[in-house]
Amino acid sequence: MKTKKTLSELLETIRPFRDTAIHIKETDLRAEYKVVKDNRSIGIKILSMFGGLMASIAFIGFLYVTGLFDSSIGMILIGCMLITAAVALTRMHVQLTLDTLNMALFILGFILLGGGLVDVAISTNLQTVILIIAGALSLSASRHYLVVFVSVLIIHGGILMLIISNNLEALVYLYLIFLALLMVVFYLKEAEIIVRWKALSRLYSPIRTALVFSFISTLLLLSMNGLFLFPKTYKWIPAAVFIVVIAYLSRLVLRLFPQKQQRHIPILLALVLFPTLFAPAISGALLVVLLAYLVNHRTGFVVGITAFCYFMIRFYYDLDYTLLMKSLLLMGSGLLFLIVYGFIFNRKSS
Amino acid sequence: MKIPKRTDIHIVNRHSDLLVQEVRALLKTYVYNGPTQWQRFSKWAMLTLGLGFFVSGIVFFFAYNWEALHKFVKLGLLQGLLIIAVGLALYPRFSRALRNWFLTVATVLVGALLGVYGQIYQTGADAYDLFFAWTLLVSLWVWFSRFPALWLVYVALVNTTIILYCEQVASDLSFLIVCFTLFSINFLAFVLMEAIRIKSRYNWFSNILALSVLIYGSVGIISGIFGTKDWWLVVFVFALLAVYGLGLAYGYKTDRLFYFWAIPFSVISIVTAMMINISDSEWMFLLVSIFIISSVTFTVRNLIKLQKNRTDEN
Repeated sequence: MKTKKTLSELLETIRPFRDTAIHIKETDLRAEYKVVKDNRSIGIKILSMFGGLMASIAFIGFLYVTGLFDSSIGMILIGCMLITAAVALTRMHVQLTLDTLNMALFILGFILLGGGLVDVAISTNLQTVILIIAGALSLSASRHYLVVFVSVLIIHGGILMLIISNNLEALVYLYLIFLALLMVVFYLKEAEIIVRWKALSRLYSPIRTALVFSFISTLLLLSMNGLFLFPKTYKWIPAAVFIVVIAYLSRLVLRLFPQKQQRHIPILLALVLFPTLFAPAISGALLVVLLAYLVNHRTGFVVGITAFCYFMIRFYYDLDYTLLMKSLLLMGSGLLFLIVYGFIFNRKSS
Repeated sequence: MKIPKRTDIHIVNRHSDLLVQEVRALLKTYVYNGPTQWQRFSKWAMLTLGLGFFVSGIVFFFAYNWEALHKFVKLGLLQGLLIIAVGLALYPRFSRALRNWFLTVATVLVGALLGVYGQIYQTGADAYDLFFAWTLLVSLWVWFSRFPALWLVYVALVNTTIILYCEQVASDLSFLIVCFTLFSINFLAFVLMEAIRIKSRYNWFSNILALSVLIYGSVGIISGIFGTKDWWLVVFVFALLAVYGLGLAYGYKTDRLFYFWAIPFSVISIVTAMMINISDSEWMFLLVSIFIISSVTFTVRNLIKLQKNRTDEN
């Protein structure tokens, strides 16, 4: 909650951004600041998330031991009820601090729904589509950070399931490109999205973070050699798209500088990334890092950097050269970066 | 003046007639990273990538154990690189951060040198010997550098030495005692580093260390709960309780919310393990889920209260 003083100070900073008066519904604004949940620290989110997860696992244990798992219809019904209850809880505009209960009900609901669907005599595709629809419905109906976040991840998991269970592995590359472009739009068009769809602007942050997690998890799936049969022939297509987008982003960054900067940096960047053409995970992780740094999104940045380090190690580990060749390659690329560093550093000091 | 955060802009946008270009201008002015941050970021990225790739290249080069290379050349090359790294770390015209990074490189090179030495002369030493010597040799550098990343490397070295020693030499020690040792050592390291004020942005270094203390504590106690119970477990429980108390007091004093969610999380995990150890009947599972929901809710409620008090005071 903000005190009156800080709130009016905040509005004083915002008003000069238009010559004429900005119309602000101050009573509504104050009301929202009273129940605002978004500015909670990441610690609270992690705690609520894991609390919800652990509690639902324990409850599943209870259901399992009591034998309530025997009726699939019962599971589906209870699952739907729990999901509805969780979503309904998020829409109550009371200052409830029941995040954990909310999360537990929601996750449990989906586990029960999924578990019940498995036993019903319908095709796997239909089961997955039902889960995706349930995820989409809760996404559109809920107003809660974690519920929205998990809903997007459920939809994402469903889509991956559809692709893999139908042996359409090549489609993963198309899906990756789709996710990347969606992420770029979400990051770069923040102002457009939250102004055009004011009611939905509460969903913006969780959807964006969930998109990052979906994208990185798809890249992780790709890097698991041998587990799935992703055709290697098309691997370069998403990588090429990512490299082009990275070059475009670097142009956007260069435009931030008032003085004329090197015009060839985007091309150089694309050239440096060219050897990773068959490892889309590297350019993909770099794409997340750049996007997140551009708009100062800390979670995306940390996830991107971690993924980048992991994929880089995997890249060198999987390379089909002797250790000697690899070490020379590593030293070479290291020297290249150090020379560029020295170049920037010297130019600045001179 | 109050600088608006992203959430502030989002909330004001919901209750006003702000236009797209105005929201964009607000975000660009107050939230997005500008040219100065990008300059810093690209410099930092080039340096870490360059040094990281180069040093791992060196380590792999010697790990390859090239037959054609005479042992004199191998050792000479590494020692030469080590001298260059230390020389660069001492070069006064470089910035402090850059010199610290060179010292970190030198620290890694000492390990590579010891490894190659063991490889050539087949000293027959255990792996823990290498890490122990490595730790000892770089201690002075670490002490004087006051560089969080180097300290983290050092703490990792100390931990590795202890874990390897327990595996290779003192293999009859129970898992509980190993955890207790690591718990105590990391706690002492934490106290030392807070005392000499090794500062890092967002306290990431201090938090990682505190988290490792809590993880060793929780994992150790949980293993004790499910394993054979001896008087070490009692000692450990009292030590952990003391650390909880100190941690909460310290978090309150230094105004760090981290302690107020990390410590309850550790407590909740341990109590959950205790409950399951008592009985694994259906009612216990039900009780456990109710316990988790209510305890986490209680913690979150208090955290929010704490956070509110803080913002109101500001």
